[in-house]
Formats: sequence, structure tokens, C-alpha cells
Amino acid sequence: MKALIVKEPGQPEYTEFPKPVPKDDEALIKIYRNGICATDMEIVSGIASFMHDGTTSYPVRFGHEYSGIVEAVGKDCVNVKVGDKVVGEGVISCGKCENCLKGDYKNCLDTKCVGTLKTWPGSYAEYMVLPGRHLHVVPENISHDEAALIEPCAIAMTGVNKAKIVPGESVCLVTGVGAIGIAAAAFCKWRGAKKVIISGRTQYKLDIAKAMGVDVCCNPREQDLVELVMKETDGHGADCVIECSGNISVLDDCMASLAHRGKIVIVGLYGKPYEKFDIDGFLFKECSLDVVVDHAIPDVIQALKDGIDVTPLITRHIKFSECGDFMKQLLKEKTSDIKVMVDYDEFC
Amino acid sequence: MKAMVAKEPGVAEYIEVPTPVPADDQALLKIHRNGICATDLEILSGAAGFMHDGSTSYPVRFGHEYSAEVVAVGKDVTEVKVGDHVIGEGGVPCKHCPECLAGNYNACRNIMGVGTLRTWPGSYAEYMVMPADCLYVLPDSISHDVASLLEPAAIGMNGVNKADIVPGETIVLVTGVGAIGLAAAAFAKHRGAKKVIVSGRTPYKLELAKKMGADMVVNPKEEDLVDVLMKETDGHGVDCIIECSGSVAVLDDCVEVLAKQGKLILISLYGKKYTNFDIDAFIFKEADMRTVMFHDTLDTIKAVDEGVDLSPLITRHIRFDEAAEFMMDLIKQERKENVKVMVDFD
Repeated sequence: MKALIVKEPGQPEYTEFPKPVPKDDEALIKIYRNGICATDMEIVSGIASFMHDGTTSYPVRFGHEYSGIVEAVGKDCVNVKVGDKVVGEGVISCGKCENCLKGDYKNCLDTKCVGTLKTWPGSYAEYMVLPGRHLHVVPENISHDEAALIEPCAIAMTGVNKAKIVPGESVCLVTGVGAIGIAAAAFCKWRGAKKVIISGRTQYKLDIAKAMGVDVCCNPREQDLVELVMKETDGHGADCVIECSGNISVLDDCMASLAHRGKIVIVGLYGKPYEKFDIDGFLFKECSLDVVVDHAIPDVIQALKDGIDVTPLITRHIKFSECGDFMKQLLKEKTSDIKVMVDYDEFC
Repeated sequence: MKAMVAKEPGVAEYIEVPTPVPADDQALLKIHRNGICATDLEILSGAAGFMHDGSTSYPVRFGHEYSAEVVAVGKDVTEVKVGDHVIGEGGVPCKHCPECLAGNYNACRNIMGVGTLRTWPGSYAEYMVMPADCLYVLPDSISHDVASLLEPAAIGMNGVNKADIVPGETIVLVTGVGAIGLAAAAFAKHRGAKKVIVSGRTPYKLELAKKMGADMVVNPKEEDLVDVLMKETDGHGVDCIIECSGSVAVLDDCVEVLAKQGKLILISLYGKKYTNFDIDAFIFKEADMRTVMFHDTLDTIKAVDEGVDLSPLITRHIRFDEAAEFMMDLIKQERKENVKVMVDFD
């Protein structure tokens, strides 16, 4: 089978691998779609921190935002059967350590991440295998396009879950208009937030957020975010802020926008320290800070079943055979896409 | 009656004021004890932030860590009766702003801090009045000495409550050995924490921590806090940290010794920004940060009634008529040898 790997920084290339055979606890998945994630591009460019800390080395079998169909299962594979449409978790347990043997897979001592850190072979490939315990079945009526968005959406959903939205009461601010930010804003609405404000610097992405149900858009290049939040909340501030921009300079505005007892949820990493955290201001408002690493996949599947449409996040489709060149081009020149979806239909 | 006021920065003095008459919803309290709080000293020295932001001005009728007896009540009061032993909330809400109308009194935008911010007349006085619904009636088992420790202890308790301690499992680090830190350590132990570790720089206060239930103490002047704790937890780190030192310099160590999914609870104000917060390390650990500004008074009364002994926190007793001189002295010398100095109104 064909797989796209990153051979070394700057060099994505197609390689032939034997079609994998599922072990007893695994399923063989035929890949139909894969979304291009910022992390993928950091692996391609070489700037991903885990490529430098000794945990992960080139060549990397990357890709992790996929939708696939189970083609075969090992004899002990749980959760899925042949023919199921599936998505998977990003962190794969070893199944052998003391915690895994107790069934506590979440605290596995030797995890591998799909297509990233300590690389479990990823989904830029015609096929991949994954333990059934880390797979989730997606209902038939959810398309492959939507299903491949579940992984980034699930990060957003964890942020929304941690924000503890009170339906009809909470006002949420989401900063950042990437796929995760816009999805988070849409899920805040789904959870019943009274008002959702999103801020970002790209007008057409704000427009997409608006079309997905966000109440108020703020382009901080044009208006002061804190002022707008205070105006929209009669001076109370936002009950929760979900920070999805990954831009450390946004944090001051996030803190200043928080209401009394507000909560900020950080989704993403910054790559640098927060230089001047006004910790007393944070204390005076009795705020809390939470972070997101996990994926709330079942909640996203439920939201999609409830009719939340996340497909406006897909701003471009390309074929799997075009993907390597597209990524090389992307290194030279960024596009303004939110989510680029890689189509595997040529193999189907 | 006699009251002590902070007249201007550096000057505490006694004044004669009429004994207050309780309004219909208020109780008149005779003060028996009052603990000296760091905030009292900041008001006296002038260092308190709210003395500079236009909200509060001298002279200040300060004092808020009191134990009192109800001696008269207004006609609408049902919450307390004459003879009750009481302590009170740290702030009196306005009851008419949007936050109060929503029942979120702690967030009252006009809140008058007892003896502090926007000053509700405080407890360095023979008598004070309080809205009766801001009072807590204490069981007979609690002495006046211990009662006046409940206010700072209740801040520690709020921190302990936010730490989500799992009995028999959670390892707690308390940084700071002031009254709040030591009380937090005692309550963490009372809640069943598997291990309570206290760090601080004053050896005799660390001894008090042990006396109050800490399993282990660390003096970061002598040992590397991170090394000791990592060794003690087999490299996992501590499940929660209750930061009561008020020193920004401790925060880097706190972030480093937190276990995966650990909780960092911040109790005190710092007076400066936290610089170069390693937020990615915090995110990788999936940690969370919670803050404490208020009191869990009922839980504190319950814990004390169940046998938690706070009295070792009192390291000195003085008389009310000695308090002004004592405090003026204290701010000049910046002495920190006491944990809690108790002012006696007997």
C-alpha cells in the first residue's frame, strides 16, 4: 500500500509499505479522508518540539485526523466490526504495562500518539491498524468529510466541556478562528450558551463562524476585544474564555475579559512562556484556569447527530496523490485555509 | 466606646466613638478577641493596594478576625439572638447590585470589606454592628481564641475544598507557613489526604506544621524543594498544591512539582506579576489553576468542631490597649516571628 511519510524535515514522500495485518486486539482500517493539521505541517517543517526532544525521529508515518472503514478485525478486537465507519483516539495505549493490564488504558505508561509523538503509524496511508479499544463507531449518516473533522472537533469539545457552560446563562468568548476555535464556538452554542463571542484576525473565517451560529464576531485589528466583551456583557465579562489561538499575546485580553469567577480554558500550546501574568487580577476575580489535552469524541458524535454542521470548516479538498506536493508548497507559502481535506477516493 | 483606627500610614490610635445602635436587620456585637492579620498591617503601613486605588481612605476602622457575643439585635433579626457566640463574613454586600440580586454576594460590586476595602467599621473596637445574615453562630465547643482564628482558617479551607482531595490517595503540598498555610495543612489532613507536605522558611513554624498534622516538612533554604518532592513521590509529583506563601518566586517550583492532572490552588495575592510562567509545561501536565478569595466558614466550623485544633497558630496574646503600639512597632521592624498575634478584649 501507499503511505505518505516525512522522510526528513521538508521532505514528505510517498513510500510503499506492506498492507498491515491487524493483531488480535486491532482493526484494519481503510482510510477515506484525512484532514491536514497544523501539527502535520510542524512535522513536515521540522519545528514540532517532539522532533527535537529525543522522543520521536524521522522518518515519521504521520496523519491523525482520519475517517475510515473497518476492513478486518483481530479475534479479540473490541468496539468495532467489519464495515463500521470509524474514527480513533490520538493516544494509543501499549496494552502491556501494569496499568494497561489492569484495564486502566488511560494511564498507560508507554503510549504512542497516532502520527505524532513516539509515532503510532498514522493515517496518510491507504490502510492503518489500531486497537479496537481506541476506536469509535460513527453513524452511517455522518459523512467521511464530517467524520475526519471529529478529531480536531473533539479537542474543541473537551475545552467546551471544561468551560462548564450553564445553558441560557453563560457568555463564552472563543479566541482563535482555526478549525478548533470555530468548532469550539459552535459547540458552545450547542451546549446552550446564552451568547458566544469569537475573536480572530481573518474576516472570512469570522464570517464562517457567524454562519455556524456564533452571535458576535470581533476582529481585534479593528476593535478592542476587552471593550467589546464588556459592552456585550453589561460590564460583567465573559463567564468562560476558550483560548484556541495558540498566540501568547492574546492571553492578557483573555484574562481581562473574564467575569468574576470566570474560567479560562487553554486549548493548544504556545512554545514560549507567558511573560507577565497578572496573577493578582486573576485572583481578585476568583478565576480558574484549565487546559485541554484530551478528546471528547463521543460528545462530538452526539453533536453531529444533533445536526451541528461542521463541514463549513473544510475550505479545500485535495487528492491523496497531490498531498505531498501540496504540503511542500504550504511550507513555502501559507494558504488562508481553515481545514484542507485529503481525499482517498482514488483508491476506492 | 473605644475603637482603634489606622489614622494615617504608620499611625494607629484609639478614639472614642458612640456605641453603635443596631439597625432593624443588624446585631450589636461585643468583641472578645481579634487576630492581627497581615492585611491589618498593610492598612497601617499604607502598603494595601485598596488604600491607593481611590476605594478606601484614612482613617480606617480596621479589624476583621474577631470573635464576639451578640448583646442586642434589631427588630427584624431572626438569625441570631442575644448571648450567641458569633463570627462574621469578611464583607457586607449591598444587596441591590446585579450580582447581589443574582444571589452572588461574594461578587457584589459595592461590597464593603469588614475593616478593609471600602471599610465596614471593623472589630478593633469594643463593639461593632453587623447585618445578622452575615453572622455565623458557633457551637459551645469553640473558644473565643479559636473562634477568631476561623476567618483566616476558612480561607485555607476554601483552598482545601478546591483541591478535590481523595481520602487515602491525594498528596498535598502546602507552600507557606503563615496562619492560612498551617490551617490548610491541618484541614487537608482532616480531609484524609494520603500525605501532607508543608514547605516554609521558618523552622519553628515548620515544627507547628508537624504539630498540626503535616506528615513532612521541607525548608527550601536547606533543601531543593523540587528534588525532595520528586523523590518523595517516586517522580510523579504532587496531586495538588495549596499556595499560601504569597511569594511569586515559589510559583515556578509549584508548576514543576505538580503531578499530571495536578491542581494548583492560589490563595494569597502577590503584589506583582508572575513573569515567565511556563504555560506549556502546565498544559502538558493537563494541570489546572484555581484561586481563592473567600471563606468556607461552615466547613471550617465543622472541622474544628470535629477536633481540628487551630490553637497552636496563636503564638502570642496581647491586650487591646497594647495593640496600637504593638502594631506600629511591627510595621517598623517588619518582624515575622509570630504566626498569629491574638488581641484580647477582656
